[in-house]
Amino acid sequence: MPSPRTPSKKPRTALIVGGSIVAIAILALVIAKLVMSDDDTKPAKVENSAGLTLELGDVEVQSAGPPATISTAVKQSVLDASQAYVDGAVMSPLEDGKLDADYEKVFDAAVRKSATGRDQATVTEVRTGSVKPVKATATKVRLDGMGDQTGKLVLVAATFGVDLSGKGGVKIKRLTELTFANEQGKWVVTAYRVGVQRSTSARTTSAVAHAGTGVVS
Amino acid sequence: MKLFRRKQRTPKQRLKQALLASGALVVVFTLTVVSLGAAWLAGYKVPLASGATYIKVQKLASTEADAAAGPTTPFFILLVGNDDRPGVGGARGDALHLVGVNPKLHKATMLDIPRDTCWAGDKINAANANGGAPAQAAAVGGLIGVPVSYAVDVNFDGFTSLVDGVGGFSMNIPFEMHDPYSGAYFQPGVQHMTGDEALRFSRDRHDFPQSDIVRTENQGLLIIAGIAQMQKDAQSAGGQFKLIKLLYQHAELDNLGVTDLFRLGRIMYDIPVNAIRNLTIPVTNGNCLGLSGDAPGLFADFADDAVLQSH
Repeated sequence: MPSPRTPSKKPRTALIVGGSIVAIAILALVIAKLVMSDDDTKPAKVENSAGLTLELGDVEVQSAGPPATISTAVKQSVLDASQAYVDGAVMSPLEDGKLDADYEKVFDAAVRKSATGRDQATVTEVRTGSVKPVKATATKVRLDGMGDQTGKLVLVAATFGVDLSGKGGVKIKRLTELTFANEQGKWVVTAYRVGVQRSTSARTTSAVAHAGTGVVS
Repeated sequence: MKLFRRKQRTPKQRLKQALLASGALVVVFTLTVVSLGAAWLAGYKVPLASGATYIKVQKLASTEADAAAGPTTPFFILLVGNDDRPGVGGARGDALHLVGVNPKLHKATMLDIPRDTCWAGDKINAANANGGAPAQAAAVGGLIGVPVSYAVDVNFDGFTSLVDGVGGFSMNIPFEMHDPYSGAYFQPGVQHMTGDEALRFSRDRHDFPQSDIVRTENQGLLIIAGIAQMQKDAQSAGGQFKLIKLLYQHAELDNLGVTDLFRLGRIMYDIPVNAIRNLTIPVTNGNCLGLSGDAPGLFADFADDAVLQSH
């Protein structure tokens, strides 16, 4: 004959059951949030002839509506474009003394005019010219995303620093923020902020350039 | 003697009752957590987390360029602080500031408009109560002679929640304030303002002989201090994205998307605070304030490129 359950065990059982339900619900929400918040798959590294390879760092995404994510494909696209900019606008002039015209293609029409005109001396190293052999290191590329009211990703900002040194004691520190928007399926730079400090044994200069208000000058 | 004696329950009955009560609590709590979580995941504004919507931002007219490129020519934004609050109602435009922005010159001018300024036979602030921000924009635009492209309408709660949302900001209080009506008690000097303190500062008019004229000017100082804080927060794209998200949490936006806000934010970031002129429009005395003689020249100077050159 089974022994009767003592009444004192029932509240404890109810608490355990209730607590388990709450814990499972919270756990389910946390897992769902993690799944929806971001895709942590890292894109492949981008190899570069000059040896400077940008790598993905922290990713943070804001949204005006439901949670937004940056897919691996978008991360890769933004990383590729950032690498193309560094190769064409920074490494190529320092290695070969001239710009690689392909760097212009990463910008949309509105900011391309500023990047290749008014701001070219800051956005690129064309004025520094060849200082081969060049040593270069880069911070990891931080990505900030912004989703619209539907949670669709509309803007991605890539921020990274590059330190360079070359012949004649030239030292260059660059901080770059490129904000990308999707234009007909392609992620192109729609705004930028670039800061650069250049030092030689004789002097140090610094400059900042930014564009992306829609104003073409 | 008690009239109603509670029936004595057996230990078994008490246990059953306790089990039922705790079970119900667990179910309610679980449902609440799951519902709020589901709403949060679905992107709904959960009042506990985000606060209610008390700010309305409207795009009233297109600027020269499209949304993708952002405004490239001078444009005008009307900032309206309305007095809608429990027990008052009405939503009159009690704080009116017309900001002219010239993106190419990286300059802006803010005209502070006293609420009692006469327009169309009435005080100009009545327009907001009659037709909301679009009517207020039409009235102010008509007075000054410019088309208003954007209107930001905020009430007391919205103002304080937005200021608190950015963590408050620092501003230089120009003079001592001691006003029991608004609750503004400040010593001169730089201090950090919370949303509530900023509201008190912006409402004080009893400390000044010129009453609302000085209050309007003070509101202009407050707005510029707020812009300075937002510029600090928007030094990176990530910071700007957080501000946009904050705005969406607290505001209702009409005809404005994320990209619009990003462009507008970049434009405001590009304008140094010391390149923003703050000026109260010249008015005469009286209950319904008329414009003084030099107003037409000032308005024309403002209207041509959104900044003042000869005033």
